Amino acid sequence: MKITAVEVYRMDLPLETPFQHFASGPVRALEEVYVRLLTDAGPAGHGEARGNSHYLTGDTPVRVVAEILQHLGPKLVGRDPRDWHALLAELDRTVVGAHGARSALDMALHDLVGRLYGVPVFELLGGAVRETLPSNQSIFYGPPDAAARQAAEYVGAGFRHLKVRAGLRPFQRDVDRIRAVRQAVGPDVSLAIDLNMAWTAREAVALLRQLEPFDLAYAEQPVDYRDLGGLRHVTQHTDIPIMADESVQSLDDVLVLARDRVVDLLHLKLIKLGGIAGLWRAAAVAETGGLELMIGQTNEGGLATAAAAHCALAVKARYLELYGSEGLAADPASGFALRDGVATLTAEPGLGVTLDVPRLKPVGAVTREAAG
Amino acid sequence: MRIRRLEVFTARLPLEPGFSHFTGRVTALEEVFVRLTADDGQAGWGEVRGNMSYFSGESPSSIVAALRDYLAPLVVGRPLRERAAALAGFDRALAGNAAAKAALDIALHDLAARAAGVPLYRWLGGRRAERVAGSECLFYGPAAAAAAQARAYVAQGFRILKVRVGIEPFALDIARVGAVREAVGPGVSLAVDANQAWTVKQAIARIHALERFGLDCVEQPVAARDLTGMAEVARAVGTPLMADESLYSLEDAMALVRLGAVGYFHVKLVKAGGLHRARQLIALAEAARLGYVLGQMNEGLLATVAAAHLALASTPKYTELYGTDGIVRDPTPGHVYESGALVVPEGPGLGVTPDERTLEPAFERAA
Repeated sequence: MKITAVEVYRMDLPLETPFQHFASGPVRALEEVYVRLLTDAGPAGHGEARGNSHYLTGDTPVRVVAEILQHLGPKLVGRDPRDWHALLAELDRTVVGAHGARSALDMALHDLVGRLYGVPVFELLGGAVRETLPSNQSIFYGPPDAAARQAAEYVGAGFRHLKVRAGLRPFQRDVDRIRAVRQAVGPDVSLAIDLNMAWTAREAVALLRQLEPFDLAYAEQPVDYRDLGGLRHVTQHTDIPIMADESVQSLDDVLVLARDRVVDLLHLKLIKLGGIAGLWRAAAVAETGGLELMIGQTNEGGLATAAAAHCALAVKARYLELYGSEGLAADPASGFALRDGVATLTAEPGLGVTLDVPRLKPVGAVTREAAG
Repeated sequence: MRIRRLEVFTARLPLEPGFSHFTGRVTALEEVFVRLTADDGQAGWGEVRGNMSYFSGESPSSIVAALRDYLAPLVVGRPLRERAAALAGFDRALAGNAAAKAALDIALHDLAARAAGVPLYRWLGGRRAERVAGSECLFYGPAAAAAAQARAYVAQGFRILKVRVGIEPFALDIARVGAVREAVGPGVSLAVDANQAWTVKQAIARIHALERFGLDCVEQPVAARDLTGMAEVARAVGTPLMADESLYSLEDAMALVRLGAVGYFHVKLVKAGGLHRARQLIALAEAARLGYVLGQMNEGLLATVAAAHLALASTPKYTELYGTDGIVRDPTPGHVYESGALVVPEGPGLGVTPDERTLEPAFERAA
């Protein structure tokens, strides 16, 4: 059995409500790259990666497409997809980084193998560790009353975990918003904050102490992603559990964070770890170090979100963040949904997602294997 | 697909000629077998060595009791798709008892891969490799006998040999390792395994004395729980250490990484608690840039085959899967070594099934 072609597609998915990340500039659309693995056996496998992730992984759509067409795709054509363990190791060695490209191809390989064996992808990962997938929701920057209203809406819609973006200046604006949200949702909803690197370690220790009355489940990435010493200092000097997000860019980061007890929790995302196999390994390393996990994603379409959901079914994680494909006007993927705050997958083999390929824009294909 | 029935069996596998361990002589393997049957009639098998109280504290009766009283209720009646939840529940229900957990974990993996109709190594993402090197072991005995045995193994195709050391006086170890090195020449990889026999001071001096024979690694020089001692030895000698008795759980593995105590993990299903935990240990080894060897206790063929499948779905430095050597009648037909390399069955799941008539029923639990 052989992979006969790696096809690459692009599609922009406009957001109903543009968002602004700390360093992203306004994001009005997700600029997605799709891959399709064709085989001589019939089934095809699909993968997706967010192209405009420059502020998160350094990826751009042009770069992801080029890495697949020039370097990674040729490694797969002519190969047996069932050898995915060796194939993924080879992709990892081929291009330094290549987060989005590897993640899309890894996803497509898992989708393909699941279809070949007639099983959903979570079965390939060892079966389900949980029965349902309750997702959190995020409350972005804005005035306290708007944040409180939004929080109450989410709770009304079934969400039991909320994450408030914080790190505004002056700090009192954070306090006011977090207080308003806590008052709006009551004591039973789990509330966390995401600082997206807004603080110094010294600030974080002082400011988190002031937030302790709000019973926060965790504080995510309080300091710069490269400041592991600072992150560890914060973890050791606050009662609020500290989660690393931007500091997790690779399996090597996960090892250091777990080995040196830098944080209490890790936020694992497919695109940071090179896909499903990379996330599984990162979760294993985290467990050896006693770290708890959030399985999440960057804002991505329903195909990539379904892949994250399969990981969330199979890997022991305390928190899930699977709302990333909400609010997309024209997602070509169907089969993943978020209902009443709970992510749902189909029972179909592979990722269980149907991709409307004719709506995608073909940007190239690899049909010949790499020489040598 | 639901797991409808769990059956547990025991079997005594006589060894010819048997082997000596530092605690005494082993003349038979007392194995525990597990069979899980799904509601569609498909079955998955697992096997572990039972009589290894000198090693892990577990015994055939403790394994049977752990399965009956703690683990069976987590599996029987459960959908096969929820096997990860069952495995996660094992450690909450019962600390330790890794071999009992491994027996069930192997059976769950066998059943899942059989249900999908693919060999287990494929189910784990692996592939039929050109050659996965196997190793052999030289037990205690006179130097001349060890040298002759080493030559015989090399003639069979083995290029990796391990010599058991740790008997008194140490001059016997020196003579035996020296004789083996002389017999096999410089092209064969040699390791020694002290099975915790030494103190930290002895280990440092004795490893220095043995290093002239060209050792790839020294396995478990000091007591299993003395991780700081392992690290102390590691800093003092040039040869990398391998953790065996020091490495059971995920926490053990991370403690070894934190201390920088070893260059290699010796991963065994009966210590880790099965394939799932073993794969997690491998993930840590790879992340920490440590090597690992996939090994086993002396065990029957089915247990050996389970480890062999994992070897094809990972990248061990080598495998130490000679565990069926000397078994007179194995309930499971087949073999795993050919010319010093691994051969793995191609059928669905483990690809092997024991002859039930040769097994002694211990208990059964049905949904």
